[in-house]
Amino acid sequence: MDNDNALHHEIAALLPRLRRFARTLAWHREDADDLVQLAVERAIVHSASYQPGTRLDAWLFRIIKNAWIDEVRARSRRSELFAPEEEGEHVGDNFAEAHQQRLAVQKAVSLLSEEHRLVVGLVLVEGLPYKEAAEVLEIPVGTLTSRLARARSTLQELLSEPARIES
Amino acid sequence: MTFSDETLMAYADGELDLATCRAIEDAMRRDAALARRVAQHKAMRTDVFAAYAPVADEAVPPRLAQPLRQATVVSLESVRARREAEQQAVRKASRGRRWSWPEWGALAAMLMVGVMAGHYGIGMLPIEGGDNLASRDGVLVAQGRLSTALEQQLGGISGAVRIGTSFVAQDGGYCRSFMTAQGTAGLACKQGATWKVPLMVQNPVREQQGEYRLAAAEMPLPVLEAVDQRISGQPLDAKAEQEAVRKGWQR
Repeated sequence: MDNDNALHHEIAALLPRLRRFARTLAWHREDADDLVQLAVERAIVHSASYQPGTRLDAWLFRIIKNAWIDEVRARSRRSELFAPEEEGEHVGDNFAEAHQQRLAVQKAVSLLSEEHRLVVGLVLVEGLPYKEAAEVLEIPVGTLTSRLARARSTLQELLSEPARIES
Repeated sequence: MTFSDETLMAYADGELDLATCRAIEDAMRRDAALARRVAQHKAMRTDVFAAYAPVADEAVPPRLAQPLRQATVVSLESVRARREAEQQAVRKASRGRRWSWPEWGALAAMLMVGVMAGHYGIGMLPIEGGDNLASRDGVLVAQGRLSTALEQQLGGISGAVRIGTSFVAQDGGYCRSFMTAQGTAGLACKQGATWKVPLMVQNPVREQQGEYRLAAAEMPLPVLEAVDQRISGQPLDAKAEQEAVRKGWQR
């Protein structure tokens, strides 16, 4: 019981990062949070399969990835890719510029293929080493490296063609 | 020596061994184009990280933290059902209507400990000895493990005491609901250095209380009602709770 509670407490402390990772997969905040909720639910039920001493964040990212693939993806609101309220917020100062820049990058990420979004989320956003990220995705490190390189060059193209992102 | 784009990317990500890093750094000093490509990989990493960084600073919606506060969750449905039941209980209490007979029956089965202690002093309490409570000037105050838990423990963590909701009361002070492994539940509010206990109830079902049961037990309705009557705004989230612990629950 106490072990479970300690684990639950650690998971709770990781919630901000779980939400952030989920946002790289699901554009809409609500979809991303549904995904986190489902993953937390599964983590609680399967807490015995977590090996103490290993990275808890990586274990949770894998649960999120699987939950995304199994359930959430199917019902997420893909038809409406960009939330209208996200656009046109805060205009006219430096803060707005930084905000627009962040939004442009988020949009570019959302246009990547799913496997590219996963590597970008794990390595660039969550800062996992290649080896850990490859373990989360259950792929060889070489595959992860080439996916990441391709994802980056696609992002570079998308960001250098603002028209494609803003349309 | 030439380096593939993947190698330069891995260098930018800090993934390479020292010898390869040195070799790339040497090459970068001689080759400006190579240095630019590395810089581009680094900039991409920084930009993508920055694009999502604010998400981690957002307040975590309570629905995500909730399942982690209750140790015996089995399904998403049960989380939703429990949340709805709790919301309904609070709504019911806040409507202030007369309780129906079954509700009165349930309440009557609980001993209103706080009232008794106020009138008769701590010696009359049929529970807990004086370990967790003391009577000061006719007011019940927390001491011992209960006091320590109220002061230091975060919501949802179970031990001898489980803290429920923490909130700012309408009088501006902090209050927290709690349950103990001995089957009592109540509300405590910080006044000066003391946690005063304006309400405490004893759950008459005493068998198998213990710490395991405590983790899953529902806060009794009179406590939920007391929270609802006193609360100003929303309950504290985990971050605000930690901050309050750090400041010793002084505002």
